[in-house]
Amino acid sequence: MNNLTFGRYSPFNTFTHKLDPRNKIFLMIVLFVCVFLKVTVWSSTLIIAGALFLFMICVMLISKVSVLSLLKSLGAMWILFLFLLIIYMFVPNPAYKADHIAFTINNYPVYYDAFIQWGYIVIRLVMMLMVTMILTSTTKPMDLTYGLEWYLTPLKLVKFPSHIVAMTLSIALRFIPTLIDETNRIIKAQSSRGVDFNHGGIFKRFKAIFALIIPLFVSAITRSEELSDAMEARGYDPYAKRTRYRKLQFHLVDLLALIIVLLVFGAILFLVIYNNHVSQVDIIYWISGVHPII
Amino acid sequence: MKCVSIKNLTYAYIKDRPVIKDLSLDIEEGEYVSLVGHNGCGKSTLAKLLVGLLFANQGSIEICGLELNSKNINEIRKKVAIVFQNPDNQFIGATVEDDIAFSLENMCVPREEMLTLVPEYAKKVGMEQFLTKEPGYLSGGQKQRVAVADALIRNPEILILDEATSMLDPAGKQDILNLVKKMRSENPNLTIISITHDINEAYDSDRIVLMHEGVNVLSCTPVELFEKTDIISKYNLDLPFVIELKTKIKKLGIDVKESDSLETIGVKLCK
Amino acid sequence: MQIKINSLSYTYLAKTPNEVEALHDVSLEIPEGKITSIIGHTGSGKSTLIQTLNGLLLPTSGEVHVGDYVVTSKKKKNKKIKELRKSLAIVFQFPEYQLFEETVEKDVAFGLKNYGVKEAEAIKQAHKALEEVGIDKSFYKRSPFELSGGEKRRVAIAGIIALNPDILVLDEPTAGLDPLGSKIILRLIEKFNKEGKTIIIVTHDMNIVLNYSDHVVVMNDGKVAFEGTPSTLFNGDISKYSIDVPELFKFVKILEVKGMKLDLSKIRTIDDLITQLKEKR
Repeated sequence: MNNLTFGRYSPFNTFTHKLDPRNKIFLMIVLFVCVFLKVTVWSSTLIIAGALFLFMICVMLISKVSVLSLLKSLGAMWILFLFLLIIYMFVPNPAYKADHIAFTINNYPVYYDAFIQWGYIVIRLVMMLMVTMILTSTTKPMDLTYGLEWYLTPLKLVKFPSHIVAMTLSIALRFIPTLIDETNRIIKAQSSRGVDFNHGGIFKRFKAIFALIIPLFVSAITRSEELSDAMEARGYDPYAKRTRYRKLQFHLVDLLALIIVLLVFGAILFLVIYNNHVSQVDIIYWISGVHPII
Repeated sequence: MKCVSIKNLTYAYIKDRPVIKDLSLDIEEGEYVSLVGHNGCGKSTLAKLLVGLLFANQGSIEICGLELNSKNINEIRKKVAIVFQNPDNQFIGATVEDDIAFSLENMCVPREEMLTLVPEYAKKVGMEQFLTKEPGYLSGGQKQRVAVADALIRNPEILILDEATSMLDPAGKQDILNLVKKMRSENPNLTIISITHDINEAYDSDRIVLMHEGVNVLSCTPVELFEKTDIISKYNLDLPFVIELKTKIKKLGIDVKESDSLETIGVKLCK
Repeated sequence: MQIKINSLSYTYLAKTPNEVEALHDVSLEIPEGKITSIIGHTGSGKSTLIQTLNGLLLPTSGEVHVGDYVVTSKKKKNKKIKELRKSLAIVFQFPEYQLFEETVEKDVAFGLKNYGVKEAEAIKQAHKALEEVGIDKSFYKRSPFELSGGEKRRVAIAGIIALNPDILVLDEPTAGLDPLGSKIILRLIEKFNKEGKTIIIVTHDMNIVLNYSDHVVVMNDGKVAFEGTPSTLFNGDISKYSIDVPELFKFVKILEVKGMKLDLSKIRTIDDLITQLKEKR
């Protein structure tokens, strides 16, 4: 259950909470790009990553995002990190310098470079996780949907039903807590009939899952029928024109946040361009940030 | 003036097994009618037909002089509002204010008007403190009050309550019933059609329509119905406490009148 | 089997900022072989209380003794919990939502099979349970989803009764049913009680308390506010628990104020009152 709390909206009223969700989505994308901009010179890589990391820690603190919950979700990802480490250690890579051997396992050389590469990918993953957490724990899911809908609006020109997609998404979000309650209720009811959800052989567990899933489906279908009746009776027509009660507004704080993030982005971009220009590295290589692992 | 006029209505979900059979019923403007009858007698199907969620196989429904059909359904829906049974399954908006605004959005009411209307109607149902709350933080009774606010905000001529209180606890139920009373005193022209199993609730209405197997067996005032003991026992209806008490005390040879309160009966008994 | 609850407390989301104490130092004894109602307004802790009885929720502190079984806060000590759930079975609110098998008889037999009863024997016992709740033989091979609301509920109850529990706990057994459906369920509950089962009903319906229960427990803010017979309860001052007084008792009180002396412990229905009035005349 603890994993479910990852990035859940926490109702504070910080600077970040006040931002327009559209702006936040945009800023998240900009920060993702920042995370993925890459230089080969290893000292500036360290500077950029370190500065960016510090910046995000600051934003997390300002937004009152729980650092503990970040660490918890990192704990849950240790298998992925271990898997990556093994790949970097044992998959040969021509970029690793021959004189950088750290040690050998059964005559198989392991390079220092592998650890540097691994460390860099881990830091990037952590930073992506941080950005996502900041967004989701400072923005109500429903506001995210509204923001997303705004970005999808231009697609109306190619007949993409952006309003329907947003409505579907918002109803799904609205019903998540209801369905979780329902699941708990069915688990308790079936436990009273002797179902054991935690023990027993494969066949028994399979049957136990059925005893949960089927009633859950039946009730979800009933719910959706009643919901669609209620929507229709209240005059909803997905293809008709509607006015909107919610209005997203771009405030002064949004401008401020935009300027700050763009400054960070600009600084990093400058560093990257300068560095790569001086060291004359292949442009495609630094934009993509993909290390040619063959 | 006739507000609802149903003529020879027949509806079947499965062919040849009609749930509504040749039903005719007129309801006057401002009338408060209770539809009673056992589960499966066709009450809820009738409600769905009245709001155009289903269309009749035969017969017709006229609402405020307009015949209900798929062409003018949007016109009809502006006149008829419905509150369903399950508070969870009719809460569409993310928060109380979004949900109250839902119908207005569908009616293309400009945003500026919504901004004043939504808090006003939230206040009418006593939910002004909860405007930004999500449904997960509300009790069943509170959710149902939001549903009533959304129904009223459309300024309907007819309000249908489809077992709107049956899933609530006594406090929530009482809240909704008080709200209905308040609405009637504020707007005497509002027609209310209430589908209910609670005989005490039906006792408060102007007229009770008893349905059985898709037919309206009887249509009369509550007092008239409760006098028909054969009907009461045939259709297994409950009697409101006061009525049952009065009938049984009369048998003791004490003269009890319709209008007597519990207090007066007490005095008569203690003589 | 006797139920004894010793200073039981339960806290939801313990050790988080959102913790809520649902039960606080509850000590109770539920009489054996009787019908006990647990009442109280929404959020008073009555649902939490019944879920601790068979270990669906483990107490934060204190313990529940059901016969020889003990439910405590320590997970390791609750080994026999599956057996306990067979002796003390809970029928939740809207139990029809737990139906899932393809036929009625299979659904009723499902619980038995979880307790290791062989298929053929389980079906046989399922038929017996279905007969007890008055479901016609023609329904046995049909899908439970084809039944009406009241019938579904009886099938769900049969699924619990088939386990032959000593104690049957029902949460709002009549919620959402029409008057006829409610009467059928309540008569069933009375029958189970006559057959020797201890019954616990959680309800908002004061008429169930008055007409069907021997004993009543009032919960208020996670504590036991009252324990005793229904007539003592309704005759006392209960406005502080936000519970409705049944109209019969409102009337009886009017009579008392006017100076009439009645034997309250014997009044459960209007007919009881009338009998006493007749004797007076």
